[in-house]
Amino acid sequence: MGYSILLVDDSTVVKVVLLKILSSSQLPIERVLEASNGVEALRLIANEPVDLVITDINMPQMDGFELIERMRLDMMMKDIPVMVISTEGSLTRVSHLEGLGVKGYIRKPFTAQEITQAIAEILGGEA
Amino acid sequence: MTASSREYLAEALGHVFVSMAGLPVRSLEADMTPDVRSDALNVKIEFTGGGSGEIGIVMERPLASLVTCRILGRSDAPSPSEDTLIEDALKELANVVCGHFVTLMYGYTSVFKISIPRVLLIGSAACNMLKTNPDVSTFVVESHPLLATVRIR
Repeated sequence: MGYSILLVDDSTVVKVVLLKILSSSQLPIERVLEASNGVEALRLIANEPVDLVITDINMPQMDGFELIERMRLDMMMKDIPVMVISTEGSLTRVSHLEGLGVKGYIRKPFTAQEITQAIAEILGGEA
Repeated sequence: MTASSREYLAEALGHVFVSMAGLPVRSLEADMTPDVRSDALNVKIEFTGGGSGEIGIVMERPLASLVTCRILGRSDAPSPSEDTLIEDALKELANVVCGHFVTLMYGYTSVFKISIPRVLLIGSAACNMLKTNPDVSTFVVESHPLLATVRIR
């Protein structure tokens, strides 16, 4: 039985690149779900089992901060690990994310190894 | 555009083009930069917070198409029906350039809100006029012209 991962990013290009990285990795991933913003992500998490959320910060409608904050307030979602991939370099922002319980932070542009290693650290498995 | 903002923009562009697309960016004087020969895509992104301003990056479709292919690891050029994919790639590129620029310019402690980028079409004549503007930085990427500007408010 593999993991179910939700990718949240408004960029199709980023999602395509991440899908390629995940599909060519050795990680035990069974399913990858996609959302374009926090609103879509919350809807998916409410209806599908998700083991890890990988989200961008800067998105229309609902950004990554609000998504994580809402997840933390929901009994069904609060324990789902979240990893952030963002262009944000501010240490203040990273510290805020850590305060929200974010398990991993990767700054864009990223490498495949950074992504798979961070997922392996959070979920277990071999990158 | 101040000297430091121009330098930081060049550094951010160079880093992001190589990291995301494996394409080196060469800085050239405006009169040495190839002319823009067709309509170009102008991607604009704004930042507010520890400082505020706007970054603009202009390139013709062949370079935009090349950048998109490189980011996606594709060998075939996007078809005309995939214009939205090219725009999406340019927006992502601008987003990452902006993130690096603000860190270089203002440091790691400042917090910024970065806008959703927007892409506009700009005619070749307007591009070539823009090229001679002293506030515009000019570059070459694999023989394609690349124009960039940052306006600090």
